[in-house]
Amino acid sequence: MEVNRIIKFRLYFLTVAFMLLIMPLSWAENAETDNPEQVVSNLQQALIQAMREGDKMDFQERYDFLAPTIDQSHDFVLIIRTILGSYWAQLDSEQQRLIADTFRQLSIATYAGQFKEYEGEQFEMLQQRSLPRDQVLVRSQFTKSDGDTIDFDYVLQQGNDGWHIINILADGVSDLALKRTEYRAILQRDGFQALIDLLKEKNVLAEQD
Amino acid sequence: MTESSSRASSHRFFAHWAAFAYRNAIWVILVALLLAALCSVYTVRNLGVHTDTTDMLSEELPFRANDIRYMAEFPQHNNTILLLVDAPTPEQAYSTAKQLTKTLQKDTDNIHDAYYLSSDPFLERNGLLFKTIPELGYITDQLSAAQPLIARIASDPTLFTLVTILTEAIEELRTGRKLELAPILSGVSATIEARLAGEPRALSWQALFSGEKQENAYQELILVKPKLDYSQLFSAQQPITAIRDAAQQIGLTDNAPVKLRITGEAALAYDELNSAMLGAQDAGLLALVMVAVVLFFALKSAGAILAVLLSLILGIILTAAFAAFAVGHLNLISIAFAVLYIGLGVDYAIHFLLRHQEIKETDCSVSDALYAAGGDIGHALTVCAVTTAIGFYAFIPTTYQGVAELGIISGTGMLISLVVTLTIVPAMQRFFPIRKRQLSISHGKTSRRLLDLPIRLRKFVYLATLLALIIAVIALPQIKFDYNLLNLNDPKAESVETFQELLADEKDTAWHSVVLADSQQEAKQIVARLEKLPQVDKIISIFDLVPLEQDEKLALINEMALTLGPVVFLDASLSAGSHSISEQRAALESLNNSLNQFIFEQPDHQTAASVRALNTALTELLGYLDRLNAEGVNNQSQFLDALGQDLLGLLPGALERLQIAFEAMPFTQQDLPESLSSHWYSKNGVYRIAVYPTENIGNNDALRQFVRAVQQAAPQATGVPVISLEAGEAVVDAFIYAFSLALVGVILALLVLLRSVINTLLVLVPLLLAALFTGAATVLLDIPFNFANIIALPLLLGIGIDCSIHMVHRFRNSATTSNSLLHTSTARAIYYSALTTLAGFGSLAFSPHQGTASMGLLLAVGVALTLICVLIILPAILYPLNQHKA
Repeated sequence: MEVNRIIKFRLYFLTVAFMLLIMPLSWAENAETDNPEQVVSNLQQALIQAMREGDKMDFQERYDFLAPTIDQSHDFVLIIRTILGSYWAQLDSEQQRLIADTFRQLSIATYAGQFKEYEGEQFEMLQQRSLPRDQVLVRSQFTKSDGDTIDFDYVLQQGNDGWHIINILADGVSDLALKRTEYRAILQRDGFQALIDLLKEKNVLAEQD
Repeated sequence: MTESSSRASSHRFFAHWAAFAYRNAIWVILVALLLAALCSVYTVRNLGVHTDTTDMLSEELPFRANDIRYMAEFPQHNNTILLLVDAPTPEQAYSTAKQLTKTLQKDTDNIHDAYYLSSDPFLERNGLLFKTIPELGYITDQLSAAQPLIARIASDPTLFTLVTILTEAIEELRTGRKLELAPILSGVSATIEARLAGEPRALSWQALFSGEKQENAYQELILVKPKLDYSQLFSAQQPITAIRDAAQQIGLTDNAPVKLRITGEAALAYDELNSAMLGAQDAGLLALVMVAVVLFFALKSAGAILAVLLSLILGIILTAAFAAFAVGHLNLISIAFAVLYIGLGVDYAIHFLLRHQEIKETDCSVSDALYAAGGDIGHALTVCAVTTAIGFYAFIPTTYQGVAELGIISGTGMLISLVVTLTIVPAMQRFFPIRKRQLSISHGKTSRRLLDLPIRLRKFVYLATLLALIIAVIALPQIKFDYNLLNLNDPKAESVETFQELLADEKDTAWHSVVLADSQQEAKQIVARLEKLPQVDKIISIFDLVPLEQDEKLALINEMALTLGPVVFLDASLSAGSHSISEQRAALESLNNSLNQFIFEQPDHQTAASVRALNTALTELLGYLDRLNAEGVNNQSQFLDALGQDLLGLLPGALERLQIAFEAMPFTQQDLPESLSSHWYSKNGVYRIAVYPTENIGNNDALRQFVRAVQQAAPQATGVPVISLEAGEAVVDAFIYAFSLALVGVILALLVLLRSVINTLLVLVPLLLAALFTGAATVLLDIPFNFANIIALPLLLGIGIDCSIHMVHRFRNSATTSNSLLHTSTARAIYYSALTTLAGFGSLAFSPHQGTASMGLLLAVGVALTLICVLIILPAILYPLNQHKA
């Protein structure tokens, strides 16, 4: 029947359309950057896994393992720009690229250097609340093997491709503040190249840890 | 009718008048008392007082029109009270000002509105946008450095935590890390020292964040629009009391660290009136005593003094009743009619009594003597009264309403004084006849010689007069008018001291000009023109309320917020007592040890000075705690809690305010809230532009240059500087005009009344000389004319006219030669009436109100110079006329 056929086709069409509507969402869920808490959780899971497999992987392997997750969960350009403040605008695009890349490498290396052994540590998600300027705070707690805890609070902001961590507060101490004080003092005293050298030096130290 | 026959008829008329009053003394006095009672009732019911000084100038003057328009468009800036909150920290200044503003806004009985710029919610949120880009970067740097410390204190806001963090920081410093610790170390040691010294002073975190050294005082300004009650003499009394009460209520007591001072237009006016009244009260008492003493020396008779005072009081009552009838109110200038009346009214009575006494010496009866004295003095007093009255009436056409009204009232007052003197004084002789003069006193040999001096040394007098004349002519062009209204006020009054301080403040001087513009385009053109002037420091308009480079600044503010992170303070009360005294002491000792080691290891480190300072403070603190320990444990814990509060108490508030400011949003002129924009843009679309001077315009030259320059660029300019300059010039013009008219009036009156050119000239010479000398004296003695002492001039004019007329009259109408002129009752009367004026008004020179004081001084100088002109120079001038007379 012509009419039945049309109705059937329409139902099919609707189903497809519905599916199409759903799909990007579930794909995004797969990418896991649509939800701030998920972004943090992805990072923490990766870190725990890196620790668990600490003895199976060397530093470079851990670095390579963590890099995609960390790249996806952090907005390094925004972070380094905020740290450098007014200096950022004084750099040419080549220098900006160089410092952003060096900083990214150091950050990943720091994670890879620190999360390498597992003795029952765990992360626990505490709370998510919104902050002014469309930012979100995800609060979590890290329990060490000896039972001591550290509060890890993440500030996230939505970019073009989902939510990204832009600051981390360990027991309330702002990573951006620490780095701003340190990096700007070097820039002021010794200039741009000195900062690059320092970041590279730290990168090497992270590997040796 | 010839001159002599007319004089004979006027002599008969006044002689009969005096005799009539004497014969019917009881009735005359009863009628006078009844009249006084009726007039008192009428006056009390009908005479008002206007204390608003600006209203006294004609509204047609351009500057008045500009001012009226300004007040109509921006009424909130008219007659305001300015509150200054002084505090040891910016946080306390801010929170107190905010709280006080809130309290005052609730008091709708006394306050229209209270406005504190920094607590405007819009500015609290967007305040950071008004900082420059480098400033914002700097604050972020400071916050970054402090963030780890803030974060840890937030989770445990105690002295213990602070000290522990500082210890760790010093240890970091010892390992060679670069940390900028000097500001916080200095702040902490200063706070500890202050607490130990018993003058606790909180640590300002706001000052630390902005990288400033903590100053000793921070100031906030609140603009209050009071509800003034003009039916009261002290229109601002209620609001000012209400403000003081509100301040007490929120804990601004005398010994609180935060202080309130009250100034501004309305408060200045209040203190002005208050000091003027108090000064007048004290001076009045002193004057009464002094006048009584002088009168006693002059008349030697309590009865005569009573007669003088009675005629004086009656005359004032009648004149006040006339003022109520003809004008309806007194203003701050026309109230001086009483001054004029007392000054001149006494003189009339003295002249009459002394002439009467002189005639009585010839051993005739009281009634005969009165008849002769009435005839003699009646004519002279009439010439005096009519001439002086015409002089005062000449003020009526001036643009200065205050002076015009003074002219009407005082002119009529002179005529009233004439009638009262000629009636009451003879009538009183019935009950209190004046005693005969004891000849020995003024007829002594020395005094005779003294009185002959002006004639004997007349050549010297001519020379000295000529010399003085030359000096006066040279000095005259430098006559100055002091436009600064503050200089009139009591310099010790709180409002005046505070205002002077604000004037001297380069950042935010209290006096500025205001220019109104009808359109945005016009406003921008005016700003552009004014910006070029060297006399102009800064210009503020609504355009300045919309900061530039908002996007860049917002990015920086975002950076700042992100760097600081979401700090949440734990309630301080929750962590109170969480650390025992021994823990706290151990922490303090451990910090002190680290400091000691650091100093030992790196004595030349750039932070060493502040480390040493903290080391000293901590050592003292620990010693003090030991002493407290000896007294009891409780004391120690109380002291440490208080110290913790000093150090950390202001931190949460400072951060909270900062976090509100992180929520800044981009905005345009249209987005400004009315509370803010209404100060700069009126409902009718008029723009207000505030123009600030480069120099301190408390200085008259700077004031004139500033106002003239601004007017050149914007003729419609108004505001206090413009008004005081323009009003000053209007007053000066009004007085020059009034005195020119008065001079013409006086000359005409003298020509008519004296019917002789020579006599008119003889009266004018000492009058003009006295005027010239007085003008020169203001230059030489540095008593510039001002809005207050200029009131003394009509009185000096009146005294000058009267004295000259009396002397010339006596010389021309009796057998007296210039040689014996000074021995007559007329000379004595002039001398004593001048003394009463000196005694009566010279005491004003001690008033705390500078305007009143300068008036007293000017009067004293003027009267003294008039005496010299009339009693020394005039007889010397008359000498050559002796032969002619013979």
